[in-house]
Amino acid sequence: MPQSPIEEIVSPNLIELTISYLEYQRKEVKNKKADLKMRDLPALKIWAHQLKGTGASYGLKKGGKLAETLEELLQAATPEWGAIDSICLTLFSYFETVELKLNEEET
Amino acid sequence: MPIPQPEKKVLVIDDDPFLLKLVEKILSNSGYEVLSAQDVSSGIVAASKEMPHLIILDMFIKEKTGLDFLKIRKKQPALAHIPVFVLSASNDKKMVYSAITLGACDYLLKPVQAQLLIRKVKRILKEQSSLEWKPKAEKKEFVHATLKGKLTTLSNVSFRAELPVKLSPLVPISIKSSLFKECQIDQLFFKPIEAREFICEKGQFINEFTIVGIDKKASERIEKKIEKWESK
Repeated sequence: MPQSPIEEIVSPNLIELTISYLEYQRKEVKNKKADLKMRDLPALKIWAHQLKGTGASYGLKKGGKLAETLEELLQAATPEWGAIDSICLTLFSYFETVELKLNEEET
Repeated sequence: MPIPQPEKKVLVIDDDPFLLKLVEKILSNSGYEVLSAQDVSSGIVAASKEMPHLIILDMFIKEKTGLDFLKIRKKQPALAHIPVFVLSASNDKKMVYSAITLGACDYLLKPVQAQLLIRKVKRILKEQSSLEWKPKAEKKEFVHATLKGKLTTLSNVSFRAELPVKLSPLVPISIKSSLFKECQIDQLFFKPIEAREFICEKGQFINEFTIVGIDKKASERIEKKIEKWESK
């Protein structure tokens, strides 16, 4: 089923950086799919933590929120892989479909 | 927005290159010179070489943590005076407490908010370069010290903390003492000599204070009282 695009509102001052950040994350998705398959907890933890801090700093609030949820799941004493799989797939899809919109208040 | 002094150097230590780029853009647009390091070791090297006015530190930096950086910094006198504030996505209370205990002057949570970051940097640098210290005794929130100790001379004051207390060279500490009362002075104001904020642990001695905001007559009264007290 085709995913409807997710929209993020970003600062025009940061648009170039945000685009390059997104390009990087889109490439990273492939590696993260492999990490997920291998159940590589440390690698996924680092990814989720960085996405939470940096992604949201670029204005990718919805992505940041997903990463925050993922980080919480990964930090559990006994990780629930079903839920982790699900949120990772949502994040992969997010990076494939997210569209950037300039914050008009800053233009 | 007024552009700050261009010579102010800020070192940012974070293992995420995209976060570094972002902070660099925000701060350089506000007139700061921004240096960056992606791990603890290169952060120490950059700080020692460049002597920045401020260090912004992440908590999770590859195989190490920001706490490792703070521990090393604390042992190096050349670096110990440089204010460090933490910029982290982790709100773990233990981590926050440890960072402040190890000398971080502030802890800011990611995501980065440009205006907030600029305000913080500006405030810390202003405090750091402030040469004229003004007592703010009327602001009760600044008076946290629970200290017991003795005054041997006006330039040599020694106190022991009864509770952990955050000390800052910019924030006055009022100390009440029966000695002061005998000199018809209700309380004295002190500031730590150390040019940075630090946490004084319970039981720790603090003997590097200067007395501020005291007039000459009051000073003479106390000096006389100390002489008498010491000769006993």
